[in-house]
Amino acid sequence: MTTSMLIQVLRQPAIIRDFHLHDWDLLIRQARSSGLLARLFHVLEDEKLTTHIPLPALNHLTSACKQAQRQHQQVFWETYQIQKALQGTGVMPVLLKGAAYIYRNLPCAQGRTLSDIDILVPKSDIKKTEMHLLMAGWITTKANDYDKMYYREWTHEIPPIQHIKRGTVLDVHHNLFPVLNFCINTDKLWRRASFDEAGIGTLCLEDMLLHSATHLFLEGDFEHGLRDLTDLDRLFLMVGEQRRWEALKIRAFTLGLALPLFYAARYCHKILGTFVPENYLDAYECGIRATGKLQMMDWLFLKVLIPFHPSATHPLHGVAIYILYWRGHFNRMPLRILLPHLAKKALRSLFNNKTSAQKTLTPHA
Amino acid sequence: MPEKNNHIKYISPSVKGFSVYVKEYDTSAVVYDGRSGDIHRVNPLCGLLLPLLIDQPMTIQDLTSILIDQYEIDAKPDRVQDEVLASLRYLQSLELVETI
Amino acid sequence: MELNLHLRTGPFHIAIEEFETPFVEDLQRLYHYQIAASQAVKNAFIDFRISVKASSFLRRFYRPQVSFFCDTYQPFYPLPYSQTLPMFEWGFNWCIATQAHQFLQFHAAGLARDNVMVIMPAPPGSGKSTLTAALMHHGWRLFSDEIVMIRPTDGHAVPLARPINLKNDSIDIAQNLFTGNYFSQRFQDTHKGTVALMAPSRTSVDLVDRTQIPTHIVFPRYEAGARLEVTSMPQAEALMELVTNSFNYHMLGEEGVKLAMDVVDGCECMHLKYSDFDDVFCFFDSLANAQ
Repeated sequence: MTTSMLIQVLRQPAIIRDFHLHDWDLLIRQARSSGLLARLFHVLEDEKLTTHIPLPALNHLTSACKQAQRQHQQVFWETYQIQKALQGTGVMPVLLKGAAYIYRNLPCAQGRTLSDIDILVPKSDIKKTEMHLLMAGWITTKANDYDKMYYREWTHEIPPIQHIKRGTVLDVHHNLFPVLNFCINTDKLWRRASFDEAGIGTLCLEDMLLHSATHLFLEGDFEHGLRDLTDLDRLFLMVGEQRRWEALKIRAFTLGLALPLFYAARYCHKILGTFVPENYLDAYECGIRATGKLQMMDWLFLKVLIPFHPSATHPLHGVAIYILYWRGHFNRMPLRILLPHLAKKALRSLFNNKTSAQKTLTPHA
Repeated sequence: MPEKNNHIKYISPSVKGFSVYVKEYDTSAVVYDGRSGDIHRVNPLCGLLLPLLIDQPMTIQDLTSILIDQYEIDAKPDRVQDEVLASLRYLQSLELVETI
Repeated sequence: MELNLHLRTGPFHIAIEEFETPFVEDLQRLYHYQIAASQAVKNAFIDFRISVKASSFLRRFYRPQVSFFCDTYQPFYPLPYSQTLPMFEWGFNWCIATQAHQFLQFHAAGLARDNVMVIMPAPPGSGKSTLTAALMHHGWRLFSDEIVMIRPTDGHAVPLARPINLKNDSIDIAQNLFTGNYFSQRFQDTHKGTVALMAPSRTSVDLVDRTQIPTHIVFPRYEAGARLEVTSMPQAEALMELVTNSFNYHMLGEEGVKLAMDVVDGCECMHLKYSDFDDVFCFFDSLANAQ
């Protein structure tokens, strides 16, 4: 399997010095379909390579950076609005994933784009939080009752809410992961989260990394897989800089998340060339006893952690995606609940063939 | 709602380094709210008040006396204060100013 | 069908990879002077790869539809097959509006003559497109009838010279008055009513690389039987109109707003009420001659 051009550049940015225009053309397309255009610009900037970018490609990169900057502005403004909405309630929300990276201005905030803002609140506060956010203009977007029920019963969040005026989408979680199969005790997370003077929290570096790793490797959603992998790459870099390798490992075992940490280390190292200590790559230690299982996982993950672009996908890409989607579902829910859920979803999709990714045609936007 | 209360202070807080930017025109002012990314057209008095409140809380009395001193306004302080209050209300409705 | 037609309109290089056969001729004639020679596109950088193609094989026989793709992304629901060409135009607009934030973009028409460059923002139904077509026919250089792009580095407006989108009654008016121009077929029942496209003039295309500083912002309003009336407009009002009709000022943040302020500072802003094209020509020519 040949490595996609985008991944080659992420591993070794300097190769762009020898690029022709048509190489740039392909690189930009792969980066766009991976949601990594703005990130790519920052990678090249960090390596002081921006003078080697030809103008037509630079236009697309700067354009994407402006879009990312706008999202960052929105993250700060929305967080401020959340803070105001929850003022006086005693609820201290913790920002997760993209919003957290951006709010704390971590290295993985650079060029990071996001489609919604995720916050975590204690389960006992969820009703209060929801009510105050509703009063501040965030309303439920999931229309049908089955979806609402599904969210509340079996996931770790309430249905996404959208601000009535600003249109921004907020995901309110009460746990990092779905309730059933690998729910973790959130008290442990709260104890190590840090809050600023505005009462907005973020997880500690180890928990942030473990959350990202678990989300990517156990949940089955890979559309932004490569982007999430580059987040992990930058988080690992921070762990190295702060000499927290030992702490991270201990934390992973404490929270029961050694397996996703192993996957994150293995595939960051394999795909992006990320530095991780030798003992991070030991499969046996985190419970993978059979080499066959590891081969299977390599086969799957190396096929999906790529740009979702026809120039980069393997012929069996679809198969791998399909298997990992099912695996993600199994990880989330026990079978007795999963099967009826999938059946209902399949039934409804027969009657409603519009996908949410598509919008109605508006003349100019 | 703003009141003519001596103790209430008004402020236009910056949010993580993003703050508001005001450009004055002949008969109005245009405000770019760098925190939300929105743009608003406001009356000239709002255009004068807003820069005074960026990151620095003030009471209505503070604002009124600054206006009277700086712009040599020849009107009864009470009238000026009413105008200031009305403008602050408007700025509050646009989320450009809040009370603390 | 596979087409692989390359166009260069202003700063953008686009490749039309697939298109529906019955509409190819119209497309080629509308963009006649902008089709890039095949040796010029070899190994080039392509800004947008566009396909407008029939949704599925079965759909060809039952209420056929077309889908728009920009590379692999499909931003819209399919439209009836007959709307292939308008869908291409709208989709192309979408590409620019969502992916070309290197420019500040206004929803407005842009025209120039000599050193005068006029931005005409106007709501639908104000007769903006007809007026744009008329001025182009009269010898003004077309920048665009829908998207005026401003380059942040120097505040210049950047031409696109793309076809003018005519709607409903204005199609007849245009076809009667502006003979010698190329018009596409008519597309019925679109979400904008009946639509036809008018090709940009040869001069507009030939001079497409000549960018210009905007000098006037004119808000036109057609009123049957009215005499030409020009009233000056407060700059703050023009600025608000311009910015609220911008596709992407949010993306450019403070830089975008300050750029818009600079544009307005450098322009004379006015309302224009008209009914007769000859009066309008006189007025616009007087702007050009006054410089």
